[in-house]
This record gives sequence, structure tokens and C-alpha cells, in this order.
Amino acid sequence: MPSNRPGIRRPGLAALAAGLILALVLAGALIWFRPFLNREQLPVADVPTPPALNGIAKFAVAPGGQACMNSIAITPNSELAQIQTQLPPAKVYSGPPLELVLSGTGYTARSLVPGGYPGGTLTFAVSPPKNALIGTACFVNRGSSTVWLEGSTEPRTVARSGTVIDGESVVGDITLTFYEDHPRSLLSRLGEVFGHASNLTDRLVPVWLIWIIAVLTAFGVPVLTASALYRAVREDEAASAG
Amino acid sequence: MTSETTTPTVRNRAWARGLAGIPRRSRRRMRKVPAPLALLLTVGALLSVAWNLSLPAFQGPDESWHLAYTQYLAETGHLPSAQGGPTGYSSEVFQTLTWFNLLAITGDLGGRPAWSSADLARWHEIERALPRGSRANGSGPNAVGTNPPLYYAVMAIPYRLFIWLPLLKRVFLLRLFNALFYLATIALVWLIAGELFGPERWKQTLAAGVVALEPQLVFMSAVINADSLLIALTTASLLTALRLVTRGPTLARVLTASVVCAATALTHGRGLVTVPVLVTALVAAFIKYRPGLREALKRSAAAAGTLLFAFLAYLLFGRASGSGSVYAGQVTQLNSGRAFNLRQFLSSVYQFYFPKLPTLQPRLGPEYGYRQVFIDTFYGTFGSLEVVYKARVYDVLQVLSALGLVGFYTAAVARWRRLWRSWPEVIVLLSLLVTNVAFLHYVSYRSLLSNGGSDPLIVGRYLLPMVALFGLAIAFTMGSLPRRVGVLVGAAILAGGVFLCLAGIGITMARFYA
Repeated sequence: MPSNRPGIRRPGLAALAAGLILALVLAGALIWFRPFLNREQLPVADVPTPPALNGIAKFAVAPGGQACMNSIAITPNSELAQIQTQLPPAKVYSGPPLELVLSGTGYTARSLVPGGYPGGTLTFAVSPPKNALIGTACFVNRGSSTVWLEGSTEPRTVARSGTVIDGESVVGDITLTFYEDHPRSLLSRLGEVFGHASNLTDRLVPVWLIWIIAVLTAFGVPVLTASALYRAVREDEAASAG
Repeated sequence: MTSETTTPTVRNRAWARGLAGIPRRSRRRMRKVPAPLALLLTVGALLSVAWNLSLPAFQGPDESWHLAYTQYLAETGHLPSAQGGPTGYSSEVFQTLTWFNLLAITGDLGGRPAWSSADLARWHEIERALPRGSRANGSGPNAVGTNPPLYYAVMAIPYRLFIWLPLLKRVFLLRLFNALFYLATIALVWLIAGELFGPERWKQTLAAGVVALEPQLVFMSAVINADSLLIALTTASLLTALRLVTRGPTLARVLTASVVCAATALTHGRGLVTVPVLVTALVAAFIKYRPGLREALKRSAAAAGTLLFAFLAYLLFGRASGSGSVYAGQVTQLNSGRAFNLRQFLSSVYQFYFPKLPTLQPRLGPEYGYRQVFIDTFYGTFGSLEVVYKARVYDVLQVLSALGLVGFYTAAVARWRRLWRSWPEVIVLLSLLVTNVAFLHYVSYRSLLSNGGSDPLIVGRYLLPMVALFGLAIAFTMGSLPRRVGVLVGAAILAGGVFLCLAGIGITMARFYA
């Protein structure tokens, strides 16, 4: 038996319990956290107008018409713009060419999706601005048939942006999401993610401090939990020995 | 469980005599917080700060309403109205919710807050342009306006301290303050475990550790919501009630227990469940210690007087503030809706736990049972119920919970003599369990009656005031195993808690900021 050999001590219960905690958390991190952090997907750059929760609204844009939304945040990562369209279920009906015009102070970008699409998701390739700005997004119907853009009129999910269709204000907004144009892992974007979190504390917690808290939490919580049990078992052993 | 038979005076004298022979330095050390508890509190603080950062302002359950209540009370000294008034949110809160899309994304997985530097820069301009009085005009209607005021009065202290800060910074700091209630809960569970298990550090550490690592509880610590104080005070209420039966019902202890009980009832309507716990503890303590009829009546009157005084104070304060009614949400359901039908209620409770029998009427409302309440939303459903673990995580938790329950039952049967000897403690613990669960079932049933079966009202976080029982049950079960096995299985449970908390923080941050 190893414990009987001189110089080799059997690990005590305290060390065994602490080690078990660390081993299990490490195993869990390798099996579940690593794939979660390394999975590559198109990163969301910004969601100026979130989708509806319950009832999807449709905004009709007639041939030659346009639907514009203001107060749209456009960031240097806004490389793809995605919307949802609806078309009548007729066999001959196909989507008209649709242009997205993004504009802000000192910035304009245009992107055209050719006609012929069957409805559903439309993605526009966008030239993003150098710096984040608050601007306007207009969808211009360049075809000869109407297109319906999905959005929300639910008071719950309507965003801050005002919507104007052919010069008239309408209630609700068209669902718009910006993505980056190449897949990236969450791990590679942690700095950006922490930047978003910092902005939502009004930068009370700067990004560098979030990094420190993240590292302390990820490594400190398992180690401190293991230490707590270790100390407790050792105290019990000391009490029973004394 | 230990059975305390010595009187406090004798104990204190013995303690003082014991201390006298110990050097001053060691005495100081003994008075310090035990190392395992200090470590667990550090764990709790880290987790709470991390969750605070992962969760944008107002994305916790009803957080915007709880903040609005706090703000109105702190700014004006009055309670907001539940029904009347022009607007429940102040202009400052409403503008923040709108500009950052924080209302639009609540519960909406496809939404993200307005997180760019341009959003923040423009917000600063908007914030500077807000007129005077923009913080104080959220008079109502407030969705939580009929909640009692204690939590909001306490939160008004840090609110006033940080009033000079912009709202998003204030919310972050208020959440940090709110986390103190969670840390207090951990410490209270530690004390309760010490009271019940005696000086066995590993059981105390396991009980308090399980609570510190309960993901839903940690999440709620990072949300401005009266539940956090309710949980801490219900746990304190349990501790003071237990001390009545373990140490004797002295007048000081009775008063302490009744003040804590009153504070719990002044925090939330669900805090009323501590009243039957206090009554049970008093009766058990009088039976055990036999103080004499006169003394028993005197102490009962002290307890009842404290509760009555607190309730009247709230009633008068609420009326003076123009608040329409007392107690909200779950308590309002006690007497609302269609007539109570006992048979239907019992059938409803049965079908909450078990599959429907052919002879039973279908249960009112949606498919909603113990899985949703005791597993999904108890262990962890974050944000506004839209941030969840993978389904198989809940499946595993359900199986482990069932195993734990079988283990607990086996331990209780195997150690029934010891439990029997500790009957006063056991019935106090049981009274909290039974009153809480019965209360939730009853209000859920009444709610289903009144809303046509659309909303069963109760979720797992309503079980968190009993989180001490969860920790104690695990520590008791593990303590019934051979020591080596118990410690190691306990370690595995703590590892599971660590893992769930870190995963919960990760998925919350990914949902809102990635």
C-alpha cells in the first residue's frame, strides 16, 4: 500500500476534497466552456431595432418608395445588415431590388440587393464608418413591385428609432441587425464584449477592470471554494485531534 | 442536529471563563470571521460582481419597476401609487430605457442593448438636457407599487449617497449594495448550520457553500429587486426562530425574532409566511422550556405587539403617502378571482407534481409543474426568463435532485431517533417549508382562477426564501454518509455549483453583449 511506504503520504481528506472540486471544474471547463468560447459564428455588431416578440408587423414599401429609420447606431463592425422580408405566396412573385442607404455625419454607404429573391432574410454588404455614429437607415424599393419589411409595432419591443415611410411617420420599426462579415469565436471577441458591458455601466467599470474581474472570477471562484472546504475539513480534523 | 440544553447565561459564563485563559491575540482571532466563511463570502462577492457586469441595467425580473419605486421614494419621501398617476417611470429612467433599447430587448433574445460608444456619447448629451425634476416624476402607476416599503427605504440610502452619479452608474452601485443581502444570506445559513449541526465546519461550509453557489440566488443578487432582502430576512427569521427553540424563549430573543419577522413582512407580501414560522417556534419553545403561563403570555404579547405595530406603521405610512392598498402580487391573489374550490385546488396541486389521473379534471392553466418551478426556474433561468442553460442541464439537475431527495429521505429515516430528539428544530424547519409551498400553491391556483388560466404566477425564485433549507438538507444528507464519502460527495456538489454559476454568467454575458 502506498500509504505504508516511507516518505509517501496518502493525501488527506481535505486535500482530496479540494482537489476533487478543482478537477471537476477543470473537466467541466474543458468539456463545455472551451467549445462554447471557441465556437465560430457571425458576430452581432449591433441591433438597432430588435425583432418583435409576439406579433410580427409588416411595413409595405411601394415601388420607388422608401422606409427610413433614424437614431440608428452604425459601428466600424457593421459590415452586414440583415432584415426580414415578406412576399405574397404567388409563384411568379419575386422580390424587387432593394437598396439600403446608411448615412450619418460625414458618412454615406449604399448597398443593393438585386431583385428576384423569394422573401425571407435579406443581407446587405455594408461599408462601415471608421468610427461609431448615430445615423439613418433607408430602404429604397428600386423595383416595380411592393416589398414588405418585417418589424414590430408592439409597444414592448419598439426601439428608440422613429420610422418614416414615404414621408409619413408610422408606428413601430423595421427589424434591423448588423453583423460582422466573418465568423469569429467568442474568445477572440472578449475585449469587444467587455467593451459593450463597460459602456452599459457608463464606463464606471473600465474594460481593464472587467478583464481583472473576469480572470478573478474564472480562476478565483473554484480555487476559493476548494480552499473553503479544505480549511473546513482541516479545522474539523484539528478539533477532533485536539 | 445538536440539542442545546444549557441556559445562555451558563453558556456565556463558560465561554467567558474559557476566553479568560486565552491570550488576547488569540481571543481577537477567535472573534474573527471563520476562514471557510470568509472564503465563501469572497466567492459570493466575486460571482455577484461578475453577474452584475454580465447583465445590463433593468434586465432582471421587474428591475425597472423596483428601481422606479426606490427612486421615487428616495427623491420625494413618498411611496409611488400602484394604480394612479401619470407615469410609473421618471423621465430619467424612461429616457434611459428608451435610448439604450433596454425596454425593447427585455425577454427578446434577438435584441441587444445599444452598446456602442456613439450611443453612449449621444446619451450623455440627452442626459445633460434632461429638465430639473426628471428624477422625481415617476409617481405611478408602478407595477410593484403595492409592495411594502422596507427594501426600497433601505435602497434609498445608497441611492441618496450616489445621487450625483448618472443613472447607469447609480444602478450598478445599487446592485452592488443589493448584493450585501445575498452575502448576509450566506452568513446566516452558516450560522443556522452551526446552530443545528454543532461545531462541524465542513457541514457548515457545505450548507453555506451550496447557498453561495445557487445560480438563481447569485443572479438575483445582481438585480434591484425586493426578493434579495426578502431572502436574507426570511433566512434571518429562520435563524431567530430556531434560536428560540435551541436556546430558550427569553424576552430578548422573542423580540428579536418578532422584529425580524415584522421586517420580513414589511419587505414583501411573501414575507408573511414567516409569521406562522414564528408562531410555531414560540409554541415549540414554550412546550420545551415551560416558562409558565404568565411568562408565555407576556412574551407572546411582545411578539404580537411588534408585528401589529409594524403593520399599523406601514398602513399609516402607506395611507399618508397616498398608496392605495397594502401588499401586492402574490398576496393580492389570496382573495381575488372566482370562488375557491377545494377539490379543484387539491387536484391542481396533485397534477403539479404527478401525471393526471383519469378521474381528475384537467389542471387549470398551461403545462406547468414542479419541473418548471423546482428545477428550471429554481436552479437558474436568468434575464427576464429568456436566458437558460441547455435543456440537458436541467434534465441532469432533475435526476440529481430526485437522487438527493431519496438520499435525504433515507437519511431522515435512518436518523429518525436523532430527529425525534430535535423535534422543536424539525418542526420550525418544516413550518417554513410547508407554509411557503402551501402559500405558493394557493396563490398560483387563485391566480389561474382570476386570469382565466393564462399565468400560474409562481416561479422558482419564489422558493429562494427557503434556500437555507436547501443547503441544510444537503449538508444533513451528506453528514449522514460515512464522513469521507460525505465530504467528497459534498465537494462534487460544490463543484457543480461553481460550474453552474460560471456557466450562467457566461451565457448571460453572451446573450446581452456578444
